Formats: sequence, structure tokens, C-alpha cells
Amino acid sequence: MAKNSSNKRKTVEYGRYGYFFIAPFFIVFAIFQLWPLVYTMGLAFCENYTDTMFNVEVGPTFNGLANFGTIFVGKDGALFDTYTFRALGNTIIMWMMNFLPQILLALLLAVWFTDTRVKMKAQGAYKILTFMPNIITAATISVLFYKLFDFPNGPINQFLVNSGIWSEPFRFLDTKWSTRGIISFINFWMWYGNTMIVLTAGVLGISPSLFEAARVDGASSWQIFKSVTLPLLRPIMLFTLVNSAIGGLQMYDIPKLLTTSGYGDPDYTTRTITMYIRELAFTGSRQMGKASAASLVLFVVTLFFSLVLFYIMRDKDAIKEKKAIKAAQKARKEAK
Amino acid sequence: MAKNNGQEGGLHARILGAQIFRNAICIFLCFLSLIPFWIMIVNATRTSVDIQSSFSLIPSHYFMENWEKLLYQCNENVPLWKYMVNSCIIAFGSTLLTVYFSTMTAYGVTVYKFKGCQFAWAFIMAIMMIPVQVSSIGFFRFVFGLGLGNSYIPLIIPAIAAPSTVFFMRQYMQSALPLEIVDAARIDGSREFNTFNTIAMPLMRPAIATQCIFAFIASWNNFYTPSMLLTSQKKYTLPMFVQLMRGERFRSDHGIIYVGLVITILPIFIVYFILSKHIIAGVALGGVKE
Amino acid sequence: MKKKLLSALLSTAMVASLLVGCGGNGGAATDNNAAADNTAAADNTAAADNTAAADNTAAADNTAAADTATDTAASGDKFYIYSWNTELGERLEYVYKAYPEIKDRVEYVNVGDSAVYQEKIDQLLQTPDAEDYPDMIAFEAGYIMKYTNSDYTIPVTDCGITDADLAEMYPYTITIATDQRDGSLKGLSWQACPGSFIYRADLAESILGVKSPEEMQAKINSWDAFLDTAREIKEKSGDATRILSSNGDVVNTFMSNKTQPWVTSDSVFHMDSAMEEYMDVVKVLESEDLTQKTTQWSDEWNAGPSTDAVFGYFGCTWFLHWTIKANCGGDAVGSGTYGLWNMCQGPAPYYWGGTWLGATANCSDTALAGQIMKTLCCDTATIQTLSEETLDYVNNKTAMKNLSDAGKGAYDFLGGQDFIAVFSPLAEDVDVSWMCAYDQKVNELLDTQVTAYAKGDKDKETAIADFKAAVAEAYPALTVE
Repeated sequence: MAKNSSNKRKTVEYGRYGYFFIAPFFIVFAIFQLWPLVYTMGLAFCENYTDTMFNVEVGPTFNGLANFGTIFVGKDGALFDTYTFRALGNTIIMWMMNFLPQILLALLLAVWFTDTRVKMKAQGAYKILTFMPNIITAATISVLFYKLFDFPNGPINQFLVNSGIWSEPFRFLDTKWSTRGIISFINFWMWYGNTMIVLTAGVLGISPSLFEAARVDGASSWQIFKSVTLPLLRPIMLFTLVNSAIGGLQMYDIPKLLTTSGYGDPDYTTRTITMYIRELAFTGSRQMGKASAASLVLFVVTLFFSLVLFYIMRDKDAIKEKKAIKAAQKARKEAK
Repeated sequence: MAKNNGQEGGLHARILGAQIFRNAICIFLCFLSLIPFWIMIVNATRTSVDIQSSFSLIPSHYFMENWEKLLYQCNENVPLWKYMVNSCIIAFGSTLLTVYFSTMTAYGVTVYKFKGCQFAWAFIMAIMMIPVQVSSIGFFRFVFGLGLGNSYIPLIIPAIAAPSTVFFMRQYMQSALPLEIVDAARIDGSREFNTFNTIAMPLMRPAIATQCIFAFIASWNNFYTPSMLLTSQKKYTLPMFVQLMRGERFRSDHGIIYVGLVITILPIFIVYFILSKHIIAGVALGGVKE
Repeated sequence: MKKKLLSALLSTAMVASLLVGCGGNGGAATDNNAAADNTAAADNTAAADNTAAADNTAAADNTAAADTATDTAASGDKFYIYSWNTELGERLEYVYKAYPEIKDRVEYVNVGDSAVYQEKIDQLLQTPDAEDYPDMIAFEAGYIMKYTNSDYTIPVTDCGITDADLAEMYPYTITIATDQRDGSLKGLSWQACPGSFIYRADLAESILGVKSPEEMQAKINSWDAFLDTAREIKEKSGDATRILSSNGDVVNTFMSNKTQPWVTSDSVFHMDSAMEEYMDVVKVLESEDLTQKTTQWSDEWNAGPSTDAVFGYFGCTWFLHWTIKANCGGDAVGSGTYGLWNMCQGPAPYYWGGTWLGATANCSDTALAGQIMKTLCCDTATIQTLSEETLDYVNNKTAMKNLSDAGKGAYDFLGGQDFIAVFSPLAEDVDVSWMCAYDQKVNELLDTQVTAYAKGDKDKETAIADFKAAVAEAYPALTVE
């Protein structure tokens, strides 16, 4: 008992050092992330732009919800019919176009790689090669694809025409769906290897005895996948989903450097929300106020996804501990 | 008996068939990962005219000519190596800070029980997913207000606060750093920071190595923030140089653009193939956060 | 400091000796080490030439130059000039020829892309303390007013330019660069850029049977005539040749013929009727397949002049040399399409581009800025040599007249046609009342919508409405009609 209490005193005594250890993180966070975030939030409610006529900055002066008005209400008073939400829509469309095939392929590969009956000996090499595009500079990859899909003499067009698949070259980057498709493909191609590795690790984390038991019960591979693998992978898949969604919302480098003018050609159909924010803030009238308001919209959407993730990943041990303590207290009370 | 054998043979054939099919798909995917880079390398060795006139998968021998032309085009103001050095400075600086301070923060919330400890940890988790993009306008104005636009400080210092690295470090620390060791060090009279630097850090080495790789790659590849803050070409990073290559200056010659791309990819290619095992392991570890 | 002074001395001595043209081969081997400090002077011959600096003339030059050099060191080392391509850099060589001592000091920064240039300059102007804050900036007509109407630039009079220096300039070059707030002049240009239609004379003859620029002009003197000729070229060449490379090539002709600028001084945005005509013409070009349908400045577009696929381009003075000649696939008569071109006025007179040079508010050395502007833009002798050597159409009436009188206008690239004779009357009449600070960005926004309309993605009303919405989005301060 005495030993116990002395231990307790010791931890309390050393506890204050914890503050020193976490201080740098929180100080830097406050200066370089929190304050800019607050600043952005403040600017969102201000009129602040540069008047092109005489190149002078206007504001920032408080103007209430005016910025949000132009963000939410389009011409003719139609709600959400604005450039901001179109950019957000483009981002979400292109993210979905890459995420669905990505998770499906990754899942398939993860199942293959962990299949104990059909062994894949070279999976180490496969993992290394399919993951590789993920670490290459996105800027370089987009310029590379920009060159590959060049019209009319880019390698892809040359190949398609030379091999007789198409009779004439195609304008990949002047067409809405092909441009979106290429952007989504690059994202898919860069990320499925990553997702696959994560999911493979997830499958390997499932207790082998569960598979054994299912097999002894005579379950088919599909049944095992459906009722053992998939349910147990759900948390990891959710994690992947949220991670990918938040990453996808920030999509910038690839569409910025892939599209012909860098503003999301054709007709802004590949302009993402971050491109849009940058364009508002740094071109034309340099509308910092409105760009901040648009950032806030992005923030809210992101926050929603983070909260989902936060909920999934909340510290389960801590919760269990709390529950156990409560249960113990209850039991003690009852015993009394 | 014979029937049984046949069944078994059928099973074997099925497994073999599946093996062939699955490997074929995987080989195709690997091919898909490599082919754009292969075309890039091949075209880097061809003349602009050749690139325009035909498709080829066989390298030619104009690499050095293209390379010299590229150097000539770049050298006008800022030599090519300068972009690499700039990228290195930022990447090394921010990697060191990220890894050291993240480990430190993780140590703080793991080893010590203090008031607000739980809250601090919850807070770090909560901010983990906030992307820099949402606060970039405020960040830009703040940094330029301080007169730090066009400086590397706002690109390096914020790396101290990297919530996801802290998260990873804490996960690892919980299994790799028994608190008894810390207590033992205290009994030996070691001071708290000393314990952290001499005992905890070495124990964390595998996690630190993994996080170093990821932090370095992330910073090396970063385009968003540098392209917003850096105004002078002398301070440009490699991804910004890639953007320059899309501009009018290099438009006339395809060969040199491909060479430029090869040069920007090469360092990371080499690093990847040396460290690929660790990287893959790190990705697998990072994903399993349950 | 001592070392710096020494190397400055040595380098100026070197330059001076080179000027004197002395190939002295004295035994100055001992100077080698010192000279090696100076990167430019690292080679032996140059160091050996140092003996030449011992002559009186060179030594005299030397002290003067050394003074400038020390001043330089005191007033912040480099003098930064920004532009978006190599053109200005090459023109600055003429300034260095007159004042060799400034060459090492001037740092010419080629941003490398006109599309991002403005964004880049705006960024740079936010960091006046940066080492490479621009001392001078080059401006294009499409956005020069945004800077000359602001406090980011200073009047040229502050750099020592007088009214007498401006006497030879074409009036429009001064109108554009004048601050509308107080009437002070903020930038100078060395070139004048009236436009014309530049076409392949050989194709004109083989396809259309046209033998002279006058006949050609008659075939394209209105937009209807132009489109008819376009159809004729497509048909008679059997789809091998198109009148233009990109649909967008016609844009400058229409822009110059707006009756009022996009944005008038009361901050009201106007959609001129010329713009609707522009949309119609582009629609016809696209739907009847009359052009190659490339994108302006793309690789394919640039490849046009070297092939028979493109009949002509709308181009101005600099365009002739910088774009067509540079991409014609040859460098003398007989190679590529060199020598096969002619020029005529086209459907309407127009004006396109041109580069101005201005000093910034935080310019580290206004005297140097003045010296550069004066030499490059005002000095008739320099500018005449420049024009003679580069065939640039310069912003100096006397120089152009002298050259024309001397018969220097006959240009072998144009099969001997006198380009000065074509451009001169056009340059006198350039009207820039349609220009405003918003041009570049607004034109970009318009281009997006015109492309969508021409391709059939939306109808004309939608395209116009979307264009106006895009303008309103980009410029909240404007009243969009």
C-alpha cells in the first residue's frame, strides 16, 4: 500500500514534464496552423480583394455573410449553383471515379495476396512495383501524363493510331470526361498500391483461426470473404475511405499541372476546390475574402470526414478502461 | 480412389490456373506502373523530331544532347542543381524537425500523466485530418505579413507540428518503450530530457527510420505550399521546376522536357528501390491503426 | 571588401581591355590567382590581357568603371529585370553594348511562361525586401494598365527620362503606359506592334491563284470574304491546307475593333457587339472545319509554319520574327518555308501585344533604370541598329523611316516584301482606346466560353451568360451588364 502511494506521488511529480515535451508541438501548431485557420475564418467575413483598375487592395473590412452569399447562391438565386460548388462537385466526382476502382482492386489483390491456397510467390515484387507511383512527385507525374496524352503526337495517340486501334488522334485534354478520366486514373494508379498494402496488412491481422474454422465448416472462398474477411476489414476500409476522401478533397497538383491552361480545362470541369481557392486568391482580383470563405466550406466538409474518422479510431482501450472502472464502482456499490 | 485422384488433380489444376491468372493480372499491373516511366526514359534519349514523328519503346542515343540542351535552357538564371539543393534543404530540415518533435510529443503524452494529457491526445487526433489547404489563405497573409514570404522558414518550422507522425510514434511507443525503463533511468538519476534523448530515441529507431522516409518524401514532393510562398526563382523547389518545364520556355523541345522529368524523378527512384522493403513495411504498419 | 573591390577592378579592366581591342600577350601570370577569384575572368587569356589595362586609356576607363562597381556593391548587388521570355534579354544586349559595365550587374529573369507571369509578378511585388525584388518589369499590353495605374511603378521622369526622349515614339505606346490617375508616364516600349495577316504566298498562288498581297487583301477584306476564302482553301487543297491553325488566331483582330474597353472608367463591364461577331466567326471556323483546330502556342500550332497544313497566321511585328520565322523550319531562302511568306492587312486593322518596360516603386537604382530605358527605347541610333539587326519594328519613327529609305525593309523571309512599308502606316494609326487593365484575364475567360460554344457544348446565350458570370466572379468590383 505504501509502495503504491509513493509510486503515485512520483508520477504526479514527473507529470509536469509532459507539458515541456508537448509544448513545441502546441506552440508551433498554434502559430502556424491554428492562427492561420482563425485568420482565414476571420477573412471569410471580410471584404478583401485587389481592385484591378488601380491595383490597390480593398479591405479587409467586415462585410458579414456577403462572401458566403456569393458562394452559396448563384445567378437567379439558385442555391449551390455557383463556381464554388461546381468546383467542389468536380473534386468529388473525380475522387469517386478513382476511389471506387481503387478500393475494389486493392481488395481483390489483398485477398489474392493472403490466399493460403493459391500462393503468390512474387508478391513482394508486385507490391514494390505497384506502390512505386505513390512516392513519385505528383507534379512530375502530371507533366509526364500531359506529355503522354498530347495531341496529336503524344505517345498515347501515336500508339493508338499506329496500331490501328483508332483512325485518328483524340483530343484527350480538350474533352471533359477524358480529362476527368485521366486525372482519376492518375490518382487511382498512384494510390491503389498503397491501399492494397494497407488492406493486405489488415487481412493478415485477422486471426487465422477464424479462417480455419470457416473452412472446416465447409464455407466457400466467397462465403469466407463475405462473412469473415469483409466484416473484419470494415474499420480499415473506413479508415482508407476517410483518408482518401480527405486527400481527394485537397486534389491540386495533378489537375493544376495536367490541364492545358492550369485552370481546369475544358470549361472549368476539372477545376478542383483547392485550385478554385488558389485562383480566387491569387489571380484576377486576388479575392482573399471570398477565397477564405470557400476555404471554410472545404474545412466544414473535411471536418465532417475527420469526425467520422475520429469516431472510428477513438481510443478503445481508454473507453474499455473507463467502462471497467464504472463497472467496478457499480459492483462495489452493489456489494455495499 | 481413382475418382478421388482425379478430383485432387482437378483441384491442383484449378489452383495452378488461378495462380497463372492472378500472376498475369499482377504482372500487367506492374507493367502499368512502369510503362509511363519507361516511355519517359526512352523519349529522354530521343530527339524532339523523333518524339513527334513516332512512338518507340527502344531507347535512342541522344540523352546527352538533350541533357546539355536542358542545362543550357536552365542556366539562364538558376542552374538545375539549385532546385535540387533547395528541395533538399527544405526536405532535410522539415524531416528532422518532424521526426524529432513528433517523437518528443508522443513521449510527452505516453510517458507522463498530467492534467490535460487526455485532452492533448484527443486534440492531436482531431487535428490530424485538417489539411493545410483550408488555412492557406490565412497562412499566406500571416507569413507575408511577417515578411517571411520567399523564405524557407514557413516551409520548415511548421513541420514541428505533424499530428499524424505523432500518432504513429505513439502507437509504436506503446509497444516499444516499456515505462519501467523510464523509471529505471530516473532511479539512475537521469534527467527527463536526457532519458528521452539517450534512451527513448534509440528504442524508437525503427519507427523513426520509417517516419523519416515518409516525411522526407512528403516534403520533397510538396508543391502546394512552396508554390504559394516562394516568389524568387532562386528559391524554387524541384516540383516548381517541373511546373516551369510546362511553360513556354521548354515548349519547343520535347526531348529536354523528358530529360527534365527523368532528372526530377531519378533521386526518388533510387531512394525507393534501396528502401522499398522498409517503405512497404511502413505503409502496412501505418495502415493498421486499430 | 578588399577582395570584392579587387575582383571588380579586374573584371572592369578586362572589359575595358576587350573594348580597346588589345590582344596583348604580356607576362601577367602572377595576376592569375587574383583573376581566378573572379569567375568571369578565370581564363588565362583574359588575365593576360590585364597588361593592356596598363595603357592610359584603359586605365582611365578603369577608374570610372571601378567607381560604378563600388557603387554597385553599396547599393545592393544585382539589378533585377523580369520578363516572360528571352526577347527582352536579347534586346538588353544592345544596352550592354553601349554600357558594358552594367552587364554583370543586371540580372535578367525569364519567368518562362506568359500565362503565369502576372501571378508571379504580383507575388514578387509583395516582397519588397526580397533579394530579387524586381527593379524593372516588362509588361504586356494586356495588363500593363494594372501596373501603370498603380503605385507599384514609378514615373519615367523619376528615372531621368525627359519629354524630348519621347519625341520619336508612336503616340499609342505612350497613351497605354500613362497613369490614368495623374497622367504620368510609367513605362516605355522599344517596339510598335501593328498587326497583319501573314500568309504563304506559294500556297496562295497554287491554291487560290493569288499572285500579290493586294490580290490577297481583296480576298480577305471582310470577315465574310475571309470565311469564303477559308472555305475555298479547304476545298481546293483537298483538306490538306486550312486558312488558320487555331480558331483563336482571329481573336486579336476582334479585340482591337471593340468600340469601348471591356471595363470603362466607371467600373462597368461591357460586352461589345464585336465580341458576338467574334463568336460567330469562331463557330463557323469550328463547325465547317476551316482551321486545323489547334490551340494557340501549342506544339502543334507552333509546328504549323513548317508545313503546308496552315495557310496563314494573324500576326504582328514581333510575331513575324518570333513565331513564324522561328518555326518555319529553315533559316535561309530555300530551306523550310523561309522566303515563302507575304503579308497583307487582313479583314480589319488591329494591334497585338508589345512589351513595355517600367521601373518599380522599390527600384534600387532609378538612374540605371533610366539609363536602360533611355538606351533601349529612346536612343535613335541604338534602336535603329536594333531594328536593322533583329528586324523588330521599333518604336521610333525616324529610325523606321531611315531604314525604309535605305531599303532595309525588303525582307528575304517575305520573299523580298517590304515589311516596314506594310507596318508603318498601320503603326501611325493604332488606336488603343479599347484597352484596359482587365484585358488579359477577361480574354482568357472569354476564350474558355467561346471554345465551349464553338465545340457545341453550349449555345451562344449560355456561353455569353457564363462568360459574364465568370467575369463577375473574377472581378467582384465590376458592374456586369
